[in-house]
Amino acid sequence: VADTDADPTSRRPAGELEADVLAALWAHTEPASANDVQAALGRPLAYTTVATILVRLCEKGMVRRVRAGRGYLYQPVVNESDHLTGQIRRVLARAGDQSAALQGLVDSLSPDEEAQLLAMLHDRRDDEGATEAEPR
Amino acid sequence: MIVVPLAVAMALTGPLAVRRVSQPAHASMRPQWNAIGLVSAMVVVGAGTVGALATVAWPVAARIGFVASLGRWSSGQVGRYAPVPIGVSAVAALLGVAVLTRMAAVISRELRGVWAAERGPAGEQLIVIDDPVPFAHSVYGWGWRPDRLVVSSGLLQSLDDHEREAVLAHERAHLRNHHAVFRLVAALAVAANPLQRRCRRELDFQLERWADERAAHVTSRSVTARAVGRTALAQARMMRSMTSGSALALDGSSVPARVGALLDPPPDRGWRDLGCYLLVILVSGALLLVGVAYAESFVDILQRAR
Repeated sequence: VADTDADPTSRRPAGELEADVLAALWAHTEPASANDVQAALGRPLAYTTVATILVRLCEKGMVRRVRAGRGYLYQPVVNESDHLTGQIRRVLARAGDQSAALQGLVDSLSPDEEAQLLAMLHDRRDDEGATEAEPR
Repeated sequence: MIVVPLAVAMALTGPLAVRRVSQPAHASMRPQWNAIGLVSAMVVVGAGTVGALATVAWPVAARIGFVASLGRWSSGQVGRYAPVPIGVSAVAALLGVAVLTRMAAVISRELRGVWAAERGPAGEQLIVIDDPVPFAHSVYGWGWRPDRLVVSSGLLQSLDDHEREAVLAHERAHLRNHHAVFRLVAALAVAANPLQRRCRRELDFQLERWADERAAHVTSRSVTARAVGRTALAQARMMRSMTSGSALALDGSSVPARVGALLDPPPDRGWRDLGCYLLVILVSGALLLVGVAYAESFVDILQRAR
């Protein structure tokens, strides 16, 4: 498999590539082609590698494949809700007490901190080019 | 009799010293060295506290009939030779039992968590939770269960491609660098000496900074800063809409400090600056050794009490 990983110093295990592809697919709100996924990945990865990983994710039931014209579009599979709450519960149980877990999962900013953070990020925005400042 | 003030001094000043020392260190020192220094100092202080309690509490334990029969000394005689009043020993023994219970609780909670995680192929696995609240979390498998990244769809959809990569790199850094081990050890040290609770918060901050620096290495400092900052802002907005305005401000977020550090040049002071932590470790360690040396004389006392 032609793996054109740009950075040879960082060897990436197979699980990591799968995670990257799955994350890219989730970020794409519509069904995506292998090309879309390839373009969304942070580092250059061969098309064949991306396609292989997508097939593997399909086999694992984490991704659904639909025919579209001559090719395929891929879509992440949403797990059943009870399974999900189970996962979250496990994460919470692992983090120990509930308040710490909540803190670990979601950060609570005071209004002051929020303003401070916005200012810090805004100052940087000028030399970054315009991506939308507000998270959706 | 000198043990008692020594033990108390050790238990009270250790955590203060660790915190004192970590404060000026954290700005310019690489977070990994900060974390290693902090956790080592916490362990020594924790072990010292347990040692100090044992040093004061042993006459009570030695009086328990069963223990006395095991060691074949007379439980009545022990009291006569004990260097500390029995009341003081009893208090220390109670504290010791509380410490051991807390430590057992910490370990069992961690074990239950790992036990509850599903088995699966070794290596990393990404679990996406379809939830609008943006969050990311890593679950360490202790080499026994697979390591997991748990990320919400809300997070993945609110970040751009580079920011997403930064968040994944951040969570991966927690797993790769075994931060769960640091957290467990710190939790045990806090169980041994609850005064170290603030030190643990400092350690948590350093671990986040460590993971941020790794993510910045994979992507860039500004991308990582934006990913961390925007995630926190989106979370704050969500939480406010969910709790209808009354946000639960716990005790200040560490995010502004993390973003600020990422926007500054990278920290460059390395392990050479561990000296401050080393000082705490040496002083606490010396007290611990005094305790151990003193414990030798208990053996003599118990011999005499036969």
